Amino acid sequence: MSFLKSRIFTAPVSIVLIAALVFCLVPMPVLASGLGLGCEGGITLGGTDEKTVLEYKEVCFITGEPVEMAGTVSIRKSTRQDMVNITYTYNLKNAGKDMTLVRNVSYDIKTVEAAGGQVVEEITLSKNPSETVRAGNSVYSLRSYEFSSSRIIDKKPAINYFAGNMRWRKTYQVTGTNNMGSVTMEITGRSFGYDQSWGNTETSILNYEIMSEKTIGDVHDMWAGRAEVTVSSSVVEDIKYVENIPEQISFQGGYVKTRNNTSILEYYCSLPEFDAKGISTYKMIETRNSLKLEAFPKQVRLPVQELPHLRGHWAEDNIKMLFSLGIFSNVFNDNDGNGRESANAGFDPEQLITRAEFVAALVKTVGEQAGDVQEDKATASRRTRSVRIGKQEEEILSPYADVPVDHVFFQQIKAAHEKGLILGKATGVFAPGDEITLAEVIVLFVRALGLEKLAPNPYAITFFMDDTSIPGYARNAIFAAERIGLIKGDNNGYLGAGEKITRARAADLLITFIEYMREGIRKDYRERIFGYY
Amino acid sequence: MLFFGRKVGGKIDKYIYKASNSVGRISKCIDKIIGKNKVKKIEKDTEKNPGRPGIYRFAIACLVFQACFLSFISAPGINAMAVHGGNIAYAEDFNYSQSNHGYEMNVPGENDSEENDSYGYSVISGIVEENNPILGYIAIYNPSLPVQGMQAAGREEMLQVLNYLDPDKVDVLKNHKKAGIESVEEGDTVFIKLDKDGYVVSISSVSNYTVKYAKVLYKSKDSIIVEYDGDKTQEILRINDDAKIFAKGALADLSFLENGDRVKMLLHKGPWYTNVKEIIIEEGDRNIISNVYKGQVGYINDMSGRIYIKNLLVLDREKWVRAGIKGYAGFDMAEEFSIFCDGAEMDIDAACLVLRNREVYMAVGKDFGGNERVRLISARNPRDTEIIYIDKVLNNARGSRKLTIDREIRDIFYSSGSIIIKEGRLVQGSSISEEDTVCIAANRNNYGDLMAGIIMAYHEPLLENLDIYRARIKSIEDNTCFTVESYSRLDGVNWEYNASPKTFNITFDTRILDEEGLVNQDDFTGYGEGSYVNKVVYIVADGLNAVVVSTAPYGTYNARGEVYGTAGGATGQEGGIIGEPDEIRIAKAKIYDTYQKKWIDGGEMKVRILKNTVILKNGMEIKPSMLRKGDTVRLIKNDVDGAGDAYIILVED
Repeated sequence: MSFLKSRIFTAPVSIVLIAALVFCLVPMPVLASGLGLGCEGGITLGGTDEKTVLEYKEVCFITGEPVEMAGTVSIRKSTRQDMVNITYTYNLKNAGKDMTLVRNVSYDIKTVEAAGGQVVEEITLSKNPSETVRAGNSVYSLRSYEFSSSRIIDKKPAINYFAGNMRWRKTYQVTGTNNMGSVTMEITGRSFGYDQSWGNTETSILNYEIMSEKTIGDVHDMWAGRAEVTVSSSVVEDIKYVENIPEQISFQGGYVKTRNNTSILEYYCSLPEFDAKGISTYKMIETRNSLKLEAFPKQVRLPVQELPHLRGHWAEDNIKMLFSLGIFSNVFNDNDGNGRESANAGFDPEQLITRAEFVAALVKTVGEQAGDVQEDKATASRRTRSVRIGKQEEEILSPYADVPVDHVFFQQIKAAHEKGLILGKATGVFAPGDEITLAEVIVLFVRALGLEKLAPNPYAITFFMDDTSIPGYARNAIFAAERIGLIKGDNNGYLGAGEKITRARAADLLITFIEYMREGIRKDYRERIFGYY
Repeated sequence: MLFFGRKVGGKIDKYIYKASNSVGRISKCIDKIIGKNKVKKIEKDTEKNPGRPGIYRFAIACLVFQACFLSFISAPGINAMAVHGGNIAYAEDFNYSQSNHGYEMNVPGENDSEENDSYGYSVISGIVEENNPILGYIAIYNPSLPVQGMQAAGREEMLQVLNYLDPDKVDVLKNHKKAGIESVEEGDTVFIKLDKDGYVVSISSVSNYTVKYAKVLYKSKDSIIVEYDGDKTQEILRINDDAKIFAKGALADLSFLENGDRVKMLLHKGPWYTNVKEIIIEEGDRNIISNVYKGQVGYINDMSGRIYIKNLLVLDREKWVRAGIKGYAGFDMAEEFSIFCDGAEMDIDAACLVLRNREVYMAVGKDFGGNERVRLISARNPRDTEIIYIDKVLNNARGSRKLTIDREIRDIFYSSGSIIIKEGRLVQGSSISEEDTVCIAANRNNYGDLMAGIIMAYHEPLLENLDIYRARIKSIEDNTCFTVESYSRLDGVNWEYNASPKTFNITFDTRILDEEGLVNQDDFTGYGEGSYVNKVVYIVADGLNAVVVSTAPYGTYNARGEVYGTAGGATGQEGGIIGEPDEIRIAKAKIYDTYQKKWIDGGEMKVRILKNTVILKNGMEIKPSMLRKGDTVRLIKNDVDGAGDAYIILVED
C-alpha cells in the first residue's frame, strides 16, 4: 500500500468531457495568447474567468535599483471581428521604498491560420498605454511605448506547443525635486510553453537594457544597466493515494486530485551604485533574487474502483489508477470488434490489449482538448465547436471500414483519427481487434506528442541491443521516446519492439506517459530554463 | 537497369588492382579491400588514368568469380572489381593476358549506366558510421540502400563506403559553419556530394549530440562520475581537452566544477563510448544547502509534503543555536528529497509513523522565492550522545566509509544517511579530501562507535588577501591611480610604518567613502575645493588595487567582541533593506591595552557605524546590514569606553 500512497500522478482536467465528446474549455489559467504572464515581465496566478482581478508581482528597474512591486492586475477581454482585445490595469506598490506604479495597457491579438495547422498570433497595442511610477519625490511618466510581439502555436494531437518573441521600448519622462530627465528601457524576450490536459507551463525570458539620462542639481548623469528576468507559470495536477483509516469500510482507500498553480520570477540585474547625492558611480552592483506566487491548492476526490482480483499483481497500482481516472473501464472489445461489459473479474491484466482498447485509453489519457488552442470562456463561446449527440440528426461516418459507428470505441477511434493520432493499418482499415506491439504503442505516444523530429535525419540508430529488430516505421519514434525517457531497455539492454502488449504492460506504459506529460516535459520548460539559460 | 536481378540506378565503376591479398578484415562488421596505388580504372580497350585507391566494401550480394567459377570473397588472386555506389558488386581474378578485350571486364547485368546529372555530381545522405580521413574514406548508413522495394533488414545492408580523393580539398560544413574534415563525427547526419567518379567533393554535416542532465558525484583530474536525472544511472565520463565547460554564463574550466553540482551536458554518444562535448554548470543557488537544522519531528504531512519541526536549532559557526522560531516550523519537501533512519532510506509514508517525535537533522536549500525546502532528513538515535568535532581530515580511504580526523586521531563513520556538505553542496563521503577542514556532528553509540550525522567541509576564510593601510594622499590621477607619500600597514593590532611612497590603482570597483557616504570617483580629484590631496585616509587594497578609500579618522583603540545586534536599520516588504543600521552592539567586548600589550575586558559596547566606516568580511567589503548576530568582530575605534565610533570593522569568523 505504501507504494500506492507514494505515487504522484496527474489527471485530465475534465474527465467527464471525454464520454460526451463535447469540446469544452478547460478551466486553466489564462494562456490564450502568450499574455498569461501579462507581457510586462511579472507574475500572476491567472485564474478562472470569474476572477479578473489577480495578485501580481513584478520587478521595477527604472530607478536604478531593483524594486519588487506587488499589487493587483485586472484583466478585461473582449472580441471584435477576428481580433481578441485584452486590457490590463496594474496597481502596484512597494511601501518600504515609497514607490507606486499604475499602468494601463491594451493589446489586440490577431490570429492567422498558417500552413500545417499552425496558428500565428500577432500582438499589437490597441491604444496608447499609460504608466506612472512614483518613487519618493520623483515621478516617471510613460512618454512613449513601442511594442511588437508574435507567437506561433503548433497543435499536436495531445499537446499544443507555442513559442513567441516580443520586443518593446518604453521611454519615461522623469520629473522631481532637483532631478529631471528620461529613462528608456529596451526589452527583448522569448517565450515558450505548452498546453495539454495534464498541465500547462509558460516561461518567458526577458532581457532589459536600461538607459537613464538625468540632470541632478547641476550634474548631468547618464548610466546604463541591464537585467534578465525569467518568469514561469505552471499548473500541475497531482494525484495521491490516501488509505482509509477504518477497516470496516467498503473501500480501502482512494485517490485525491490536487491542483497546484505556481508562478515564479527570477531576476538578475547589474545596475550602478549611486553616491550620496544620487549620482551613478562606475561600480556596478549585481543583484539576484526570485519571487513566487502560489495558489491555494484545490482538492477533489476521484471515484474508487476496487479490483480485488488484482491484489498483488505488479501492475495493480497502475491499473487501479487508470480505472479511477476513467482511462480504463470494464468495457472491452472482442476480436469481432463488438463491445461487451464485464464485471471486475473480467479485467484480465495478462490478456493482450487490442488496438481499439489501447487507442481508446490513449484518447482518454490525452483528453479531448488536445489540438485546440485554450481559450477563456469570455472569448471562446463564439468559437467553441461542439457536437451535440441526439439533438440533431447528423450522418456520422466512420473513417474505417472495419469500425462501425456502433462499435464500443467508435467515438474514441474517430477522435483519434481526426486528431491525426492514428493512420490505420491500410487504407480505410483499422483492425480494431488486432493486438498491438510495443513499437506501435511508442509510435502513438510520440505522434501524440509531436516529437518525431527529435530523431536524427535520415536514420535513427538507438543503443538498444536489439536495435536491428526495430521496424523501420518505428525507428524515429523509438529514438525520440528513449531520449525523453518514455522507454528504456530491460536489464540486458533489449527493447523488444515487436512484443505484443498485455493490459498490464499497457497500464505501465500509460502511466509512464502520464508522468512525462505531467512532470517530465515541465522540467524542460521550467527548471532547466531557470538553471541553464 | 537490372543488376544482378535488382533494379538499380547509378554508375558502375570498374577497377583492376594488384594486391597480393584481396581481402583485409578491417572492421568488425564489414569486409574491405584496400586499393593499392596501382589500382587502375578500366576503360574499354585501354588502360586509362590511374585509378582510385581507396577502401571498398563488399556488397551483401557481391558475386565473386575465380577462374570463371563462383567463389568466395576470400579467394586468392581476386584483382578486379566492379563498384556500384561505393560497394563492390562484382569481383573476379582478371587475367590481362587471356583477355580478348584488353582491359575490358565484362560484368554480368551491365547494360547501361545512368548519369546523375549533366556534371556527374550526385548527393546522398545518411548517418556517419566512421570517418577516417587518414585512410581516405567515410562510411555512412544510407537508408536509400540497398535498393527500392527492399526493406532494410539490417544495418549492414545500409552501410556505404565513400572515398576521399584528397581529404584536404573536401569542402566541409559542420553545423552550417566551415570546418575541417576531421570535425565530421560518427553519428552526424551528413549530406555528401560526389563527383562523377564517386569521390567525395563536399560534406555538410550536423551533430546529433544528446542532451543529458545529471548531478556530479565525483570529480577527478580529467573525469567525472555523474548520476543522470530520471533513471539515476551512473557513468564515468572522461573530460577531454576539447570539452567546453561553462559556469555563470562564461567559458570556464574543470576547476569550476564541484562535487554535487548539477550540470547539463552535451554528449556525443556511440554504442560503446560517450564523449563529453559541453558541460554547463547550473546557475543560481537552488542546489546549495542554505542551512542545516536539528529539531524534533512533530508531524509529517504526506499529502502536502510538509514536515513540522519543533525545538528548531540551526548549525551556525560549528555550534547549534536557536533558529529563532517559537513553536513549530513547517518546511516543504524539495522535489527530490531523501529520508534516512538508522542509515536506511525510507519513503515519506513510512516516515510519517517512524519519525514522529524523533530528533532529526535536516539539510535544506532555498527554492524560488527564498523559501527553504528539505533535501535530506536523517534521524538520530535518541540514545546516542552527540559530539561536535572541528578538525582536519587525516585520512578518508576510498570505500572505507570512515574519516580519520587529525587532532584526535579518531575514526568517524558515515553512511548514506549522513548529511555531507562540501562547498555548500550535498555530496558523497568520498568527496571529502584529506586536509579538508570539517565540522562533524557525530553520534556515539553504546559501543563507542562514532557515526557522523553531519559532515561539513569548508575552506578557510579569505581575510588575508586584503591589506589595510593608512596614509596621506600625495597626488591623484583622475580615475586612474593615486599616490601616498608614506604609509602604515595594519598588522594585527599594530601599524607598521613605511616611509616610501606607494601608488594604488583606482579600478571601476573602487569605493570612496567620506562623511556623507559614497563619493563618486569623478569627484575623487586632486584639485578644486573638494581636493583629496593631503587628506589622510584608510585604504583597503587587494594588491595594488584600491578596494575602499575612507576618510574615517584615525582610530587609536582596538576592540573585539561578539555581535549581539545592530540598530538603526529598516527593512521593507519581504525583508528588503531600506535603511542600513548605524549602530553595532557587541557583547563580551575586550579592548587592547597598548601599554600592557594585552586585551582587557570591556563589557558591552554600542558603537556607531559611520557613513565612512569600512566593514570587511571574508575578504570583501560588506554593508552594515550583513553583520549577523554571533559574528566575532574586531574594531578600530576612537575611544576606549563602550561607545564611540567604529572606523574599521573586521569580521573574524
